[in-house]
Amino acid sequence: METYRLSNFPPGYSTVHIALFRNVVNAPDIRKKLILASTMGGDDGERARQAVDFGFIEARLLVSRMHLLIGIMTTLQTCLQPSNPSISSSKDTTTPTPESTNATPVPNENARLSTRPITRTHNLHSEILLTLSSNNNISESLRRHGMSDTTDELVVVRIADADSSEEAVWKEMELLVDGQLVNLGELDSDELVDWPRVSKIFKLSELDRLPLTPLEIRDTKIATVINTVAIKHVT
Amino acid sequence: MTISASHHLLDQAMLIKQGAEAKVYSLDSLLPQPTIYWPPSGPSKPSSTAQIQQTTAPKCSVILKYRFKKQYRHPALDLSLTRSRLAFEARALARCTRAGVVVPHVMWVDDRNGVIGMERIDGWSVREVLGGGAEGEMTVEEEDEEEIGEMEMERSKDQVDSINADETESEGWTALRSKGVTKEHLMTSIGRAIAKLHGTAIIHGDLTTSNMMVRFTPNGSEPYEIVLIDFGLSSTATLPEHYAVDLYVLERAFASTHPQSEGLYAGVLAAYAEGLGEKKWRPIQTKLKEVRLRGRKRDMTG
Repeated sequence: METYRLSNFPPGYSTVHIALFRNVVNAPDIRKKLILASTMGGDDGERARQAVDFGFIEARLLVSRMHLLIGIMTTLQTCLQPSNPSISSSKDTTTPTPESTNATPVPNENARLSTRPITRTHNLHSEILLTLSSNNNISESLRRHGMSDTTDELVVVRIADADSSEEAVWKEMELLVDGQLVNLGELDSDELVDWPRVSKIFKLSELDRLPLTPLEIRDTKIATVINTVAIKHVT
Repeated sequence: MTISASHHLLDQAMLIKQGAEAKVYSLDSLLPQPTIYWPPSGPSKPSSTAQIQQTTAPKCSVILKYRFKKQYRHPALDLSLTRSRLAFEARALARCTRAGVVVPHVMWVDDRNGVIGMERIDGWSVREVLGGGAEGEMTVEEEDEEEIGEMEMERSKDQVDSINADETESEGWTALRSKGVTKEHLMTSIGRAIAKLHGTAIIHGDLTTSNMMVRFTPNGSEPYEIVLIDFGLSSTATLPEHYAVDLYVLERAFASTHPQSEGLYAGVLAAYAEGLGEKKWRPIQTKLKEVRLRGRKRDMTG
């Protein structure tokens, strides 16, 4: 599991835990839990939702690790704009005192903590799926890039606050996913990618006609997909 | 004060260029180095192969281009201009990549704050490679690469003798030459790159030798590739006129920054014509002659 601590985002959402699981065998179970959690009411429902509060991403449609990372960065960046800079501009940017740093939000940072993500979907995790999608159809993005019953290669993402510890998040993941945790770098290996589907979704077939070597074509395809994700919100 | 994620990045980055429209920053990594957590025990212990595999963070050094707020413009107009220009630049880059034109990848687009992040190209600009301009011998149109190579050697010896401000030239050019690349070859690559770009109906708007980078390609079919950068002035073209003006700008750039290598520009045009095909090249050629007579100023069609 890789953990990125992105100090440039508000501390409430600045930690990203990412794990790649291969040979996942319980995708239908996870899906059932997700659906159950979303329909339950009361405290039980709240707890159930906490337990499955992850982004589940179909890894076969990710062409490289960069693709995933840029998708997450773009999502955070678009959803976590400081709401109204002019109002809070009277406050000074007090840098946290050295003693109180270590990822603990200091009182003065409350303003930044209060930045609520502005999402088009239910939460930041589902917003990642929408960012990864080639269009703006939410249900389609969930179907395609989210988990399906047949998913066996799965990326699990948790966007958490600056305090969240790797171990705790891993414990939660471990409870949910029955698969083999592997190095995230394996996303860069070709065997994981379902190229025919990726080509169809991102309309890459025209790239095959370029007068380039197969390796160059593959790189161009990867670059094209990453660009599509990076410029998603300005197209 | 709440400041945007983009401004945080800019704070960490190093200013490398300041223009009237934008500031350009360089940042070693868009993402911090991740911490890796392997569960100490449990059913899903990592296989040995996964452990052997070195986990290095993906290479993501970026160039951040920040279109800062212009005090002389009304804030609303400023925001909308910044956003539309930035969006166009990002889309142009994406379209180029899709068409197989080698340009930097887009990695970060924050239109509200006017920041675009692009892959940093490791290499030299063509301007650096050509350095203080080639000496007169370069007009020779020999195809014998060895002979040219020899002349290059002589030339660089001369340069070592003369206290010329050519030390940048030696670095990029020496590296290229060691791979057997001639200046003619370089010009051909430039011509091809521009032809590819124009094939997508995008014009660059500011084609100069500083806006072209030379990068080695270890896996490529050629030892190096030309990367076109800075699409801040790009636009879509409809008429041969537009392409001709684009070419003319480069021609002038060659003439002024590399006065000795003007002869080389013919090589760029020849490769361009070949890359674009006779049918498309004809009208552009005619227009280019017209543009040469009247200067680069924009078309008078509207």
